[in-house]
Amino acid sequence: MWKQSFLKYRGLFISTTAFVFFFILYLLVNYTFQNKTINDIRYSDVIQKTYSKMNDEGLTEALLRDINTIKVGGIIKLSSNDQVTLVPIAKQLPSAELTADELLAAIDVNDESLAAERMSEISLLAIAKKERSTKLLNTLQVIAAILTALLYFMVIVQLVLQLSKGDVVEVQSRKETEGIMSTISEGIFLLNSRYDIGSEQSASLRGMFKSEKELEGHFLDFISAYVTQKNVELAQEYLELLFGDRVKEKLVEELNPLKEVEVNIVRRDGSFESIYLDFKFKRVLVEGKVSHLLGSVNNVTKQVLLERELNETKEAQVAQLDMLKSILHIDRNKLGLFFNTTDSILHEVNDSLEAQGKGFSDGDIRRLLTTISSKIHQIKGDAAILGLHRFEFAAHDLEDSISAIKTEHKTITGKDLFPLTTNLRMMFSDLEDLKELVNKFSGIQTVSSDQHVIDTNHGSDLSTDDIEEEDAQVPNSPESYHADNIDIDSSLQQLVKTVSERNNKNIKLITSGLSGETIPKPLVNTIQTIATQCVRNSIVHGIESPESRLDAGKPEYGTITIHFAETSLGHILKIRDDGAGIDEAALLQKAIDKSILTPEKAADLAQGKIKALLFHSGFSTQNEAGMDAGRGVGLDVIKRLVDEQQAKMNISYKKGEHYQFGVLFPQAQT
Amino acid sequence: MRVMVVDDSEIIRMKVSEVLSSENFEIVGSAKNGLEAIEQFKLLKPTVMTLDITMPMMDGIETIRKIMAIDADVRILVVSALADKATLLKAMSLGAYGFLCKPFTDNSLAEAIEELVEDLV
Repeated sequence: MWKQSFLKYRGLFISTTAFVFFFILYLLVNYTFQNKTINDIRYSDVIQKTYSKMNDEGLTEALLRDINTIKVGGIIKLSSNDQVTLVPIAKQLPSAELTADELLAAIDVNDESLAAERMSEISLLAIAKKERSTKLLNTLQVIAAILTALLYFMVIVQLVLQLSKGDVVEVQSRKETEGIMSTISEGIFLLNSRYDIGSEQSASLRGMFKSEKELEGHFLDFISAYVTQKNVELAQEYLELLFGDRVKEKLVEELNPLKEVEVNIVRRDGSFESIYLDFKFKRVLVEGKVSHLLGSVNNVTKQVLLERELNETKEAQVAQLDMLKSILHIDRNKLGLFFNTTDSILHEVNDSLEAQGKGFSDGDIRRLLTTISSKIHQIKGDAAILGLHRFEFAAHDLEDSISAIKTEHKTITGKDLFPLTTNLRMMFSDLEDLKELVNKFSGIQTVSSDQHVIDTNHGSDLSTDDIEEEDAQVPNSPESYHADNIDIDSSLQQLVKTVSERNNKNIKLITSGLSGETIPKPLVNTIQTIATQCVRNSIVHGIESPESRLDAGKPEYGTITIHFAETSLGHILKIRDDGAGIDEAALLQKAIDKSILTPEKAADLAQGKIKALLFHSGFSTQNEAGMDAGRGVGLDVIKRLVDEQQAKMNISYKKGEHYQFGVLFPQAQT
Repeated sequence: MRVMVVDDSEIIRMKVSEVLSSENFEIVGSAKNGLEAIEQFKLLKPTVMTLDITMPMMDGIETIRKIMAIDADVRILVVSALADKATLLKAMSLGAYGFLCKPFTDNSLAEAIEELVEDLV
């Protein structure tokens, strides 16, 4: 580091050193020469004074003493208080030594004129020396002044050069930084340990936050306008960890709460935009300590959405596979029946939705929706019993949409029904998918079960294509199913298993008369639907949770019994559960709450009428509409089917003990 | 380097031990919950500890708290599912050095441990 700065400021350093060195040298030389010159001046003065004394007073004893002192050196007294120490003349004025001897000899012999002549010569020599010294000193001082000035100038030049060079480098590097910051697509910024956002940041950062000016202030305050409070709190903890020196930066990257975080940006026109930003923070170390964090931000919205789409596709594939697995277990005839029923119901619903236009009142539309609900509910029941869960969920979603429309709008108009078409389209496409799957895989299922048919009727040369062709016709002819293939019992067992698991109940189902040829063909579909809806109701509304059953002193397992038999009056279907029965008081209260009854009317109701409430469309004792029950549609469907068959139904119950539903299909009908 | 493995799953304990042994780490102990971990830690004094967060008896967070009181020099790598960032950040602020997400690959575990001790060797 020291070496580096030396190289950088080398010129300045050398010239300054030279300047200082020269200046000290000059002072030393000047001092020496000045002293020498002063000495010369003083010598000359002493000689002049002695000379004039000689002229004034003649050759006295005192004069002889003085001249002797000048010759050999020593202290001379010029006046009472002026004493001067002189060096011998041989040292001071070597050329004057002989002259001084002659002067002394002249004084000895008292030759005044010779003495004066000699004294004058010495005097001239002294003056000449004095002048030489003075001149030399002056010249030296002038040269020194010039040199000093020059060196000083050099130092200044070096200094200016150095500074301007530094400036150029700095300007250059700033330009480069600005270039990088304005072109880089990543959002870059620095955070200090107080979490302040630094002023140096990339231009794209502003763009990401749709901000007009540079980001500034406390980072957490800034970010809190865009992400959830929880994320802000986690971000603070995370940044604290990075500013500390304990955790390993790489090993906590996963914990960054601002990694692929959803950010809500307000656009310039005031609307919101939801994007995904990926923040990364890197430690900036100065001498081994974390001085700053370098933050980088990338807009990863596309990647996140793509990933999500991929996941959805994967899920859809899994769902299709599930559906495939489920249809492999379903009896082909039932599947055909389901296709036909569902297809016709969906078309009916679609037509009625399309038909309703202007002139439909709120009441008309509500009635229409109720009818649609009831039909869709039937599809849901059928799908459930066949284990076609995807279809069951789709029907459930449609029911959800219908109730949402009913509650959200005070007055429903035609265009409020628009969302239903989406649901309906999904159900159509599910149905198409299902049909396609069945067609594709029909070979697998039928070859084993219908092998004998092929062998006896067509011989062994029948191609697979022919089989498919023949089988593909099955769904289109609902009357062609074989009665002995229908097994309502096992479908219901399956339904009880699924629905009771979903509702956390323990239930066993006992049936009699439901298998084989005991059910007349035209009644199969009706009986299956009625049984499905009833069983579902029993599980959800009737039979209590295992805990409540044990508390009430009942066996943990609830029991549902279904009995079908032929009597002299006709066919009887009885469905009974040993659940909680019906709480009439609660039922009436519910009816009042739903404004189906006024409190006065409720008080007057006879028991028979209370039962009628159960069949009131849109009425349910369940508070929340769940997957399995709670819309008050199930009994509505039953009533419609019973009416269609001109059958009679009967309900009996006892609070806390049982609930029984019976239908009598008159002989003529069967 | 002495390593201790703490996880309630025996499969994970075996897996971590196997990978780290092959990376020339010495597995000195393993524990299936925080209580066991602290008992063993006092005796074994490992340099490195891999630690699960969700464990019966005593969870990872409490374990870190207790271990830091005994010897704050140990390098703890939290090995857990990335379910709750708040808890994991808490683990770091209590003194853990890093985090590895479950499920991990042999490679990612080896790399994480290397990173954890890179300034020690």
